[in-house]
Amino acid sequence: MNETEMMLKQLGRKTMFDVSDEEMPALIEEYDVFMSHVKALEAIDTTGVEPLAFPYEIETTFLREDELTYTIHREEALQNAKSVQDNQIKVPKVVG
Amino acid sequence: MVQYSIEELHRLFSSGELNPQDYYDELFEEVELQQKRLNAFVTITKDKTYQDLKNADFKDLLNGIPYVLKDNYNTKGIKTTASSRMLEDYVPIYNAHVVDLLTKKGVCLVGKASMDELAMGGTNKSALTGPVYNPWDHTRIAGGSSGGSAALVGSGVVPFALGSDTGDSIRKPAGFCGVVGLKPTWGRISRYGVIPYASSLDTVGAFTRNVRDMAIVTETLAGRDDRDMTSSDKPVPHYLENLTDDIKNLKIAVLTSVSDEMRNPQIKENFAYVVQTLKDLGATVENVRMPTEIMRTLLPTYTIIANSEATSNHSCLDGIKYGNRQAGTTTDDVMINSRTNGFGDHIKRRFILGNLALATENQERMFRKAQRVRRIIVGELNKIYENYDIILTPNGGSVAPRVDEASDDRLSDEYLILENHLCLANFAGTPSLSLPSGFVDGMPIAVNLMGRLFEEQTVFNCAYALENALGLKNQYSREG
Repeated sequence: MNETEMMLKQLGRKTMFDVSDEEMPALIEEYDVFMSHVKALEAIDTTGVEPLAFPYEIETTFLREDELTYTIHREEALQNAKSVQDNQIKVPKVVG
Repeated sequence: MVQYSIEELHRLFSSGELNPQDYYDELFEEVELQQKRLNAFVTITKDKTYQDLKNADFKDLLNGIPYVLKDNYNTKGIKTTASSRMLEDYVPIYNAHVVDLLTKKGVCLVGKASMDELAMGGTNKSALTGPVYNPWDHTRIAGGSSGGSAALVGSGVVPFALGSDTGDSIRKPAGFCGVVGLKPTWGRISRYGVIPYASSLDTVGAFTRNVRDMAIVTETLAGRDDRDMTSSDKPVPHYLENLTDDIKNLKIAVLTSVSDEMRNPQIKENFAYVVQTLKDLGATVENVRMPTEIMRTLLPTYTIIANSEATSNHSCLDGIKYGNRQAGTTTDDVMINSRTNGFGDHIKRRFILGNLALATENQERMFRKAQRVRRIIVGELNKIYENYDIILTPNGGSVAPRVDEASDDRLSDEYLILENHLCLANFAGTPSLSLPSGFVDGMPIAVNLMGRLFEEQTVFNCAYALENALGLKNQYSREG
């Protein structure tokens, strides 16, 4: 396994995936295209240009009164969880 | 019988000329036939349709009208998979805002439509339920990511369907399937309850078979929703009431940086005909350009921003709270095993590369750089809007590819610019409508009209005038 493959495998783990050996060639191919995109952007002079995080300046209020508006019932909140016990989602033991 | 538009159906139902029960019985016969041919549904909601129909009074334009939702719209009590194994069994406990709006109007939900997994793709080949086929030729793709919605409107099964558009996911399939597709202004329609892809680019929009129907649906969906803080307070115009095909005062810019990349002679000829038609209608039509080096950055900028935002948005898909859960000895293992098993290979690749661009050591060089280039692109586009109301481009350079066709050359200008330019409207947030413009080899082709922010009305008017002149409204295909 070369350095790039190793890096991508570790990055996969950080993204909470296992990357199999069979999946690696396609990932490498897409990584090469991705890096060619990065290179294409490096050719553009962005000195003094601020990042644009949204299409335009948004006129909105991020804060609201702390009032009860949309709520869901506990049963509903747990409805799609695959493992539930005593009204809580059950996961493997975290603390020994 | 089931191919009527919204307005036609409303007239027939409200006048009593058409028996709704008979109509829906026949519609579901067609649903069955077309599902075998197109594979466009993930879920058919026949029981709900008839339940909705019981409450219909046919007074409002949309009351009693059948429709389809892309399967990334949360629907209370109805499976919502986003065509991903990760959400194969997910049954939402709430409706997306626009689903509530449509329900209040009395529409009848026919089903949930197939899409590229998590809306990340342009072919609809990555759907868990398999590819969606084109209604005009079932050996070809419907396009993506909203392929199922496009195919079901293009086959005349329903008069309208909802999709979502992050880069061109409504407009590309609309062009391939011969229907009208609108990506509205970012913020015009609430996205609450729609499974996201990339939040700074995502929009909710519709497919119809004519521009008047698009005006009706868009007017219904638009407006502020407190649950989506990016939705706008701007008043919603009466798009249908204000619709006019008088475009004598319109100034239209032909973006030749895109149209010069066309190679197919018949598509070039069709585009020239559209330009001439707009001139004949009295509009001022002039050529404009954007710098080629900037146009070549569209796909790179899109890829980096979209993948980065997607990997962040979808970090919640861990198999714990909902979705595909796989066993593991630790909580981390549960998440890793669930995500490894739950996502398709191409999704994992995109998430990994998105994470690469977000990594602390790369963020400035990759993600922030892409956001800076985005500002330059939007600045160039806005310079055009200083002098023009509409920007006209071809929707793409080819008809819908065959299902087994190889992917495009990723580094040619034809691919980098022509096939990927529709994301301009996602970068700038502007409304963008794809309109059928003709046929090549029996397959539909289209043009795209982009307007200024919140000027959907201007886009509708221009499209309406062109649609009337071209005579291509209400087309559909059930064979081939």
